[in-house]
Order: sequence, then structure tokens, then C-alpha cells
Amino acid sequence: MKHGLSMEIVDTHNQQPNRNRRESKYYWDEIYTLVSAGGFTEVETPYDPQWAFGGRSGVPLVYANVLEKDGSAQNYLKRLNGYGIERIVGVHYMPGMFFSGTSPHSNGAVSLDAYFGAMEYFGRGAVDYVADLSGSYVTMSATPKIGEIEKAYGENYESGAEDVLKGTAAAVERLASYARSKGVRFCLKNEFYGLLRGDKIIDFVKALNEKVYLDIDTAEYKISGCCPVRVIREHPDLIGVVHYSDTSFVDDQECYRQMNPEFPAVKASKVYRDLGDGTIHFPKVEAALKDIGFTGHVIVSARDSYDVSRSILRARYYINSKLPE
Amino acid sequence: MANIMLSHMNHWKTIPYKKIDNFREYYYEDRSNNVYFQDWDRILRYHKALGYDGIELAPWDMHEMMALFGTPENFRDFAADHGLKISGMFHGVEGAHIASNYDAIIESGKAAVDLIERFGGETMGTCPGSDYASAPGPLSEEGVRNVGKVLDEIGRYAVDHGVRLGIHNEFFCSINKENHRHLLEITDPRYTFYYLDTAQISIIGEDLLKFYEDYHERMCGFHLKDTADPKLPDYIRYSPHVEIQEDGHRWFWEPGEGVLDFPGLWALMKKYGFKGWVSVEDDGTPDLLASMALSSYYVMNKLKPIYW
Repeated sequence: MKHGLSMEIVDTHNQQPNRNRRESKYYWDEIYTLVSAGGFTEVETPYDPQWAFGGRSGVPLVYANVLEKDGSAQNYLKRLNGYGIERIVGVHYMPGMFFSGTSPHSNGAVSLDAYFGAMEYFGRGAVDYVADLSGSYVTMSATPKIGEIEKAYGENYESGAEDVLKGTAAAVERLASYARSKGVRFCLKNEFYGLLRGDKIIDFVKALNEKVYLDIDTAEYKISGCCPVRVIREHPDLIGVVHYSDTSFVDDQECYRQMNPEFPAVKASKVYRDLGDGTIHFPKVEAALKDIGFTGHVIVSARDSYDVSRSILRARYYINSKLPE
Repeated sequence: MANIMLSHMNHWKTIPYKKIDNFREYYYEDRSNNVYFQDWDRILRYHKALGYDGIELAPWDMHEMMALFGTPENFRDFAADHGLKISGMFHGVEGAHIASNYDAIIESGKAAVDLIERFGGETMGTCPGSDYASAPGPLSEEGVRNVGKVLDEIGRYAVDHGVRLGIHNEFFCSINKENHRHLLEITDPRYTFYYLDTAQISIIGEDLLKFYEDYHERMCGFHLKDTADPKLPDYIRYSPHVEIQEDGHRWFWEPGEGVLDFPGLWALMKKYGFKGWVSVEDDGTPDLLASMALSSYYVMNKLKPIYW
């Protein structure tokens, strides 16, 4: 089984030493050489609209920035080919910023029309980008964070969450239809802090009027209390992409309801670990994928690494020693 | 009582924790120094330990900050427990040169003033509009006057709330070498002040000391930072997305690491008796803690003996 690498290994959101470098083009150029040296020739990148604003076009995580620096997706890919990266196989699209609002003075009020409008606008851009790269899939974070929805709706949370899900279903159907027309597979990632955490995603995608696939992100399923191996075996026709993300985090503090759930407030912990540093048994995951004849992409995700070089090599060591062909 | 209070502009972007209580255990999870830079408690301790009196907040951090602290008052009290005040918050009036944006920009500006007041802050360094390439520049006389009208209106509201709005030039802004003095002349000195970013004004092409001399009566605060690129050519400053360079070239350095004459500036501040906040801005550094320490050493040892 061929393993790609997610560029979410670079933390583009939170404070850390040398954080400023990630805004310059040279940093990403160098990272791709490290990824290649680590034995990964296929990558997935985040597709994060926040980098379309503020003049940070050195961050190649939205189509506009790639066009700004390279003129076309093909030119960008050619440059990556020069570093030993053969393909960008897909993107992880995160529209959540449009729910929490871009205004620094936001009082929590949210416009679902604006959220879904922006989600679809940038979502189509993500599909176009992947199609132009001859990639395979777009996986989208399915819903905003539960903590953000609770803040936005307060005591009306239940009805607000219902509205969010209803609107999400309609928007996802349109995006999936557009993706299909472009030859791109549309998948949903259900983080442990989203409305469709764990098993909830299954009935949601089955009820849609357009074929939408699951993103089996192992850490997200595990933290949600749902066994990823079971989901793979029970729903082989729904698996669109698989992420090997590790964790040893047990959410015994209702962290999934925080506004910033990846940083457990009661007891600090690194939620996402490097491959092999957590408790997920990847040989079992891989065996399940082989058993169902999965032919899609398997992407290693060391999300928000503290040390990108170390995380790449840790992943390569784990794959070589624990997941031999 | 000192004439100058030393603040630090917050570029610790998206600090994810309020306070890490299980610090040792957390450290051992990955044995990385990252955990030293993830909670407000420790970062505010660094400010105090390095001699800063306050912190200047960034609007782009508000969403995450409020998720941690709930209200500006809670953050103000948390900072006070660390011996720190909030000097102010940065702001921007993107699109102010377009008259039809007036109402939305005024509303946003007043909301920012309200927020600063609740934090207990006093300054609102304000970028006067869109960047040069996107506006696009040069602005027409009408465009400059639209900016001035916005600044005066927000500035009047700010003064009423104990806050002073100061024009904060950016070297890549549409308010630039050809019109920024004009903007100062057409705005009301009762409401619109100047927030002197020492590096930005020098990169634009002004002589730092002459500019201070000319407009010392308008000064309400500083972003103190150095540069090795004064008088940058127009064709560079006016190009798109110029602030972040592809090769990592830095426009900004810690005071003393560039070429600007800060002792000369301090002598002028003494001459004219400046009173207020000076906010070090370690913008673009790879290591904020090291830069905070470098900057503080320079200020305390080279500038404080001249005037404080």
C-alpha cells in the first residue's frame, strides 16, 4: 500500500518557535525536499481560505496563492516534481473560519447564509484546484466545531445545530455534484469536535442525494469513541480516503465541546501524535483496507507537528518497520 | 513616575492555552520546547520578567482570546495579576478611501474602541487603509480625504472613550510617501494622532528624526523596531504582497540590530517631553522570546539613560 503525507504536518494556526517562516515561499519549497527525502512522493495539502487574505501568498494552501506565485497549478506541480514530489493527490478543505466569523470584533453572531455561501465558493475553488492538479479527491471538514456552534446559538443550540446540518447537507450535495463533474471524489472528514463525530457521519452521507465518501481519519474516529477498523469493514463502499493519524488522547473532559478542542483546557495534551507515538494499531487498519480491496489514497497525518523533520522521519521509520509491503 | 511605559506588540499568534497546570507532564509528551510558548500565563510572565510594563493586543487574536478568557475584562485582570497593563490594540481601516465603505468602517472602528476601553487600553495604532497594490495607489485627493474623514470620526469617538487613535503607516500602504504628510495635515489634531512605527516610516523614505521633529505634537505612541532597508525604492514598496518576502528577507529587526538612530530619536523625545506608551514590535522574528530580550536590553541600556 502506498502512503502519502499530509502537509498538515506544518502547524499553520498556532504559536510555535519559528512560526513566522511558514508565511514565506522558501519555507514550503524546503519542506517539500524534506518530505521527498523522507520517502514520500505523494502529498495532500490543506486547503485553507484564511491564507487568501492578508497578503500571505507565500503559503500555498489556497488556489489564489498558487496562481500568484506560479501562474498555474501545473506550473506549481512541475516545481514540486523537481523536489521529488510526484503528485498532490488531494486537499483537506476547511471552511470553518466562515462560521466563526472573520471580524475580530465578532460577538459570536453568525450568518448561515454567509457561511454556506463562502463554503461553496471556496469549495468549488478547492475542486477546481484538485482537478487542475489531476488529483483525486477533496475532503472537507464536515461541520463547524461544536464549541463554536454552542457559542453562536447559546440556549438555542439544538435548533441551531439542526439548521447547520440541514444547510450542510444541501451544500455538500452541490459541492459533491460539482466535484463529480470534474472527476474529483468528494469526501467528508468528521473531526471529534464536529456535529458528525464518530458514527453520526454514516447515516448523514447515506441520506444525501449525491454520492459522498468518508474520510477515515483514524485519530478522529478513535477520540470520538468509534473504531475506525469497524467502520472500514462495515462500509467498504463508502471509504473515500484514509488518514493514518495517531493519538493517545482520551477525551474525558468533554474537550470536544471546547471552541479550541485540539488543546484540552483542563489538562494540556498533544492530541495528535506522530505515527507510532500513539495507541492506534495501524497494522490492523491496513489489514482491513487490504481485506476490502481499498484502492484509494492512504495519507499519513502528523497534524501540527512540533518538529516537521522529526515527524517525517518518525513516520517513515514506523512505516518501514511496522507496515511492510 | 516615568514618562515612558514600555509595551510589547503581540505577535505570539494564536496562543492556545490560558494556563497550563500540568506543565511537566505535558512537556514529557514530546520533549519539545513548544510547550513553553503555548499559554498566556507563561507568555505574560516572560513580558514581566523582561521589563515590559504592558502588552499591545492584535485584533486577529481576539476570537481565540475570547474563547479562553470570555471577556476583555477577564484578560485585563489576568494580565494585571502578572503585573501588566494593556497598552492598546492595533486596528486597520481597510477600504477607507472608498466613500461607500464609510458606515461599515466607522462601525468596526467604534467596536474596536469599545474593546480597547474594556481592556483598559489607551492607544489604537491604525493602519490607514488598503495596501498600495490593491487600492490601487496612488490615491486621488478624494480618496485621501475619505480616509481622513474616517479617521477623524473614529478618533473623535476614541477620545471620548479615553483612547487615542494614531495613524500607523505601513510601507506598503496606499497612504504612502506621496500623501501621508497630507493626511496628517487634513485630519483634526484633536482626534487623529500619529502612532510612529520607526521602521515603517523609514522604509517609506522619511528621515525618522526629521519626521518626529515635524510632527512631535501629534505623537500618541510608538512601534519601536529597526530596519536595514530605509528608503526602499517605490517599485518594491508598491508591489503586491511585499510584506512577506519569498526568500524570507526581513524588513524588520530588533532595535539596535538595524541602522536607525534610536539614541537620536530618544534625544528628541526628551526635548519635546513625550509621555506615553512605547511598544516594541518584534515583527518577523523567528524567536519572539529572544527578540523580546534583545529589544528590552537595548531599550534599558541604550535608550533609558537618555530619557525615560
